[in-house]
Amino acid sequence: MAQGVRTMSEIVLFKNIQKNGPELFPAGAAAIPACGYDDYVKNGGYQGARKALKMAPLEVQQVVKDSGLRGRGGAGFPTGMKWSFVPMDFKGQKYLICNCDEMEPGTFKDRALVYGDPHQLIESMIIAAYAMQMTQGFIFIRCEYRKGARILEQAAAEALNHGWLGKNIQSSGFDFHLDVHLSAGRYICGEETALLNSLEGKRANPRSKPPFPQVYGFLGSPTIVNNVETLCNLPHILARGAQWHKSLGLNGNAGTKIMGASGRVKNPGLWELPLGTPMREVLNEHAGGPSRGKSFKTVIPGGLSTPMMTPDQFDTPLDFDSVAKAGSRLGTACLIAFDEDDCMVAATANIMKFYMRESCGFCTPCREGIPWIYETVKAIAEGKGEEGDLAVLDDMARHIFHTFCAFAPGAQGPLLSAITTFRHEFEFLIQKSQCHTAGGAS
Amino acid sequence: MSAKIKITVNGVMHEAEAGRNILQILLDLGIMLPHFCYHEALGAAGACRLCAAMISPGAGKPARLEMACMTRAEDGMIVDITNPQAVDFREKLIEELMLNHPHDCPVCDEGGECMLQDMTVLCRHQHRRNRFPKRTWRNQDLGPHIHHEMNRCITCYRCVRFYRDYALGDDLGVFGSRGRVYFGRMRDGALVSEFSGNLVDVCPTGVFTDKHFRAVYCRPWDLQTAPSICPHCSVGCNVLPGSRHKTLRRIKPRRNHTVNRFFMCDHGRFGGGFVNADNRLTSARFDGAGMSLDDAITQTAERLKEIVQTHGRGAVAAIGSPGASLEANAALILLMKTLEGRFAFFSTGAERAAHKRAAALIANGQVDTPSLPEVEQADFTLIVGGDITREAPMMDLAVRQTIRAGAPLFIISPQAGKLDAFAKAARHAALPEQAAIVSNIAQALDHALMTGQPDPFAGAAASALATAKRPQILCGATGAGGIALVDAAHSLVAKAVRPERPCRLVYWFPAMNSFGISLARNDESPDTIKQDVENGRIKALTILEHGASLDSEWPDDSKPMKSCFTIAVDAIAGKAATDADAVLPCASHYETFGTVMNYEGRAQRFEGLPLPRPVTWSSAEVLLKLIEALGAGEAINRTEYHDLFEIPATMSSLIGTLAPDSEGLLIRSTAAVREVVG
Amino acid sequence: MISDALKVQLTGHCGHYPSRRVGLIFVMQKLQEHYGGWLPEEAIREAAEISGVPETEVEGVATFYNWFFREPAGRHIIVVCDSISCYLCGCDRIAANLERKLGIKLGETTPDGMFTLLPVVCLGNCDKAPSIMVDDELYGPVTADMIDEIIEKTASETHGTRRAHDERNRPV
Repeated sequence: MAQGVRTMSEIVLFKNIQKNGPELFPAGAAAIPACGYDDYVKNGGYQGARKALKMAPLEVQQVVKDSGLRGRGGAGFPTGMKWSFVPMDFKGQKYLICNCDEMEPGTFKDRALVYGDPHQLIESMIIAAYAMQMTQGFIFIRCEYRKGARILEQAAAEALNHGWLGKNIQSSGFDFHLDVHLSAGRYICGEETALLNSLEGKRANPRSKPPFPQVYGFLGSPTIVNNVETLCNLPHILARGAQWHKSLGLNGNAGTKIMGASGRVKNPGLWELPLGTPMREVLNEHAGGPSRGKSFKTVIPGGLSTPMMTPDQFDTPLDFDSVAKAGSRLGTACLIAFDEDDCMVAATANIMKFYMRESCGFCTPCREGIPWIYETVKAIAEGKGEEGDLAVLDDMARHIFHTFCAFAPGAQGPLLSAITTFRHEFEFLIQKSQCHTAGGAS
Repeated sequence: MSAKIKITVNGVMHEAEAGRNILQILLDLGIMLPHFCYHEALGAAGACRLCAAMISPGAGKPARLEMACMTRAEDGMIVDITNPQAVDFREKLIEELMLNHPHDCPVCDEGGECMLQDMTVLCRHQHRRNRFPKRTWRNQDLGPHIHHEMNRCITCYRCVRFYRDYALGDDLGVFGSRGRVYFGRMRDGALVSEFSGNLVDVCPTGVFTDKHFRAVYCRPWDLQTAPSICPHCSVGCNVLPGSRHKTLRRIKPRRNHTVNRFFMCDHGRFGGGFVNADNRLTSARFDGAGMSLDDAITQTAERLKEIVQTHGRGAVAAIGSPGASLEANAALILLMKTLEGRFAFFSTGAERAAHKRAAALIANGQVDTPSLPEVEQADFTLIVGGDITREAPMMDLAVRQTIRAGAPLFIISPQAGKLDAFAKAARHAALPEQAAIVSNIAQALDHALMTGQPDPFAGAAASALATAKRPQILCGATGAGGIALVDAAHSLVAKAVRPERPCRLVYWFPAMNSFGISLARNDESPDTIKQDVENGRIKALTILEHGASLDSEWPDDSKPMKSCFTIAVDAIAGKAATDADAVLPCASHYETFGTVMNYEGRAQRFEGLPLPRPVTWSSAEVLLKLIEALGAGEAINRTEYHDLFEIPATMSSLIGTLAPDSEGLLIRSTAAVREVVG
Repeated sequence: MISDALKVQLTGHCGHYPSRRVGLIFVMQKLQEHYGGWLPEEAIREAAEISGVPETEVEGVATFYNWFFREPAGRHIIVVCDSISCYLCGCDRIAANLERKLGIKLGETTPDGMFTLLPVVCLGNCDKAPSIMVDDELYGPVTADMIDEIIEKTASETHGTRRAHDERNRPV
């Protein structure tokens, strides 16, 4: 079904994965084997890197700039511009880091790319590293993806054997060493400066910016941290050109985006779609509409940390600017759908539990404020709400924005939208001590 | 002087130093913007989020709520700390910090000087809305000095930022994450840092408190305090001892931006026990009979007169103390002048020579001696002549700041020390051998860029010294290294100095006022006095504050002074006082006033706590009374400091006018200081 | 105690980086494996020695990350995703089933030392919610009747990697 309604003429990021069948990963414990080196090359793999190595590094940067590629980790910062902050005349070691710490609840796109097509990521990193003349790379991968780490290590060994990693790759004179770093856990490591601290063997508290990692990053050297999906676009951009990439998106957006849906949808999954595909299309056509025959109540559009969107906003094109205009953020474009039987108070309690548990504990609003919010929402959800609780939530929802990093503002997104959009549910529960929905959350 | 910028605060334009953060500028202007984690010495962390203010980059530009400590001040900035959004944010922030705080102020030792209390009141948080359980922690035993009460913690990270980041200690850390961040040791046990007591001061609430202070607790506002100088080493840290009822309760560092700034070492902080000690001398004694001090002074004067009459000049001698003030030692010298006696100071002849040479070099301006804040700025340090960590702990802390900045450190010390771990190279050699090593470095400096030095240590030190922009050498002028080591260090510096690049030199001394008494005129070698006491040529010996002196080896049991009439002017019933024929008790250091000179030749004034003791006179006053009893009172008014000490006449007249809260008076810049004071 | 061979290997790993500390997390992971799934104090000391990081700092790192364990845990680690997608799809029921089946609560280890049951944040398997992970194996969507089978299969495996959980910290 998912493939039937695809609006794209070309599948790019998933092309080596899709061949295994419509389902990227069948349910159950056994994942399908990753695309190996030979298959990857047969499908046109390493052509982008081959092309890049023949260009001047700054030319590669220019192609990426021209392609309009924006970061796929959630913030949507133009990749070419981010790269341009790296001082190319820096004498010492510069570092390229792939952020594969995918932990944003509801987000599962990077897992597909890593488990399904590891060489695509390695080729991407070669291109990025060459463009910025970074000779050491790390793939920072979350602890729960340890199988993926092994897949990557195996692929890296293959790439090394074929002269794509190590010294003087493909006789280009360029060296690139790649290490896979298996994290020891915690969501905050996905924040790029926390990731750097973690990689340095420290507690993963974020660092203050400036200085930005592009100038003062890993071990104080210029460092670029890019998301898996962002990087995976590079081989295709290099192989087929910036203009081609630009033409992939809708309404002036560049490229494809892996979009996903989970929660109350009939067919949860991932689809590679043009950037700018309307949310309604993803929900109804690709994800098959609501799963329980009820209508959708709300959708969190881009991983947990983005404000909720309501059915009247479902025509919003899923691209960075349109979703921002609608008051939310595209984030990872992995939609989490709720239907009308879901108790939004209980759901908010679940959401806040996540943030409470994953806070690094460095700054006050996050460390102290979020647990208080969680306790309060949980009490309301359990029918123990009190008058004044909503005032606390209102205060705290405003308050947790001015924090050291973007973690607590991430918690603010869903919280503020929940207590605004679904305020009546909170009020009902406080007054009647029971949820206004029939069954509550399952 | 750095450039000036203009910033507007609450509608008023101020001039400020460029490059600083907004919070520091506000604090310097006397505007109290609430804050916790920011500390002038520890810098900004951005953890507490309390110092929120509306900050706009300039007129007409939108203001945003920003943390003042994290915002670098730029010209034209507009800061509003009274904006309702900022005020509300800060109030809510305090509310959050108080969610888990135990509200145990009535029984908390910090009460009365608790920054959390102050900020809570300042931010007007009054009503607690949280109805959920608080978190609780298990406390640790952190040893004899520091009490631990984790429940009060507000997670400002100041403790680890001081202990680990600033003082480079490695046994206090931060554990856990999210709402369960714990500050402590890996397991129970005494904190090993020499600077652990500063945790009490940097902690904005009562997590780390002073165990000694809380043992006999009183509220800080009930303490009587007096600005004083720490008596334990030659650094001369400014301190604030506090007393209540009849006892000294605690000692805290007192800010002096040219000396110890914010901190002090544990030895100084917890080393005030002598004031309350059981062996304090409380009554005077003469020939074994107890009596009033006045009577004892009168009888002592009579006896001294007799001895002088019987035995003539040179039969009377005195031993001064580097642990006593300039005033006390001056009075002692004056006493000897009155009696035509001889005098020396505690130590040995060789040590004495070394002290005098080092002090003369500083007093004459032949070496450029850095203050502690200047020590922190060096980009090369060579330490030689002793264990600085034990002999001048706060200088060790200053050296640690150079290490943090990445400056190389070389150490020549008698045995392994705590700074060795941070040194590029450390050489261990007995003190008498160290001068030769320093000379090797000086030689290597001539061909610093050559490889294959015969002495790799000297070669490495020399090449680092050659390329440094702000090098310094810290040399212990304390003892066995002797005059040779003092001269070797001076020669090395002389060689390292280039027109465009000074090379600074510290000589540290064994005691608080070693520098001051090293300037005494006409003193003898302690060795000859000692000899003449032992061979009976000296018939009367006055010993000044032996209890405060670091040298406890003499007088000792092995050489009884039976034939010699001894007078002890002391606060402590030590060996000297126990054996003395005349005991003239005096007030202890923290109970009296005076002037001392630190390693830089900085004269600093200290005041005394008004402790109600039977003895309230300082040793200087006791000695002056003795001079009066001898009928030589008029000599007191005729004598100036520069008659007794080799100090400029200008300085001599200024010593009496020094204020305890001033920067003190540097001997090498006396003329310049006079302009400021005058 | 670790073998000289392991020590040499780990020391070499740290030496591979410009700062030895970069190797710390890896060293701790290997030590945790060596000590059967947790880091006893001995391991903290060894990690400190190998990486050149003071042991207080190593402890700070060990207590920060949720996949370092300072207390012994079961031979098999079962983590139950309780983030939003799995929550919507009934993770609470799955967790309750597991608790009943194992006779322990989330955060506990079975008395026989076979299983430790823990909550975990999003496993990135949201299209197959609810998901659980048993050691390295991911399962989803999990139904109540799959649980017996999964546990029996896991228990019969001889080579469980022992891992444990750090819900320890220091509150009383």
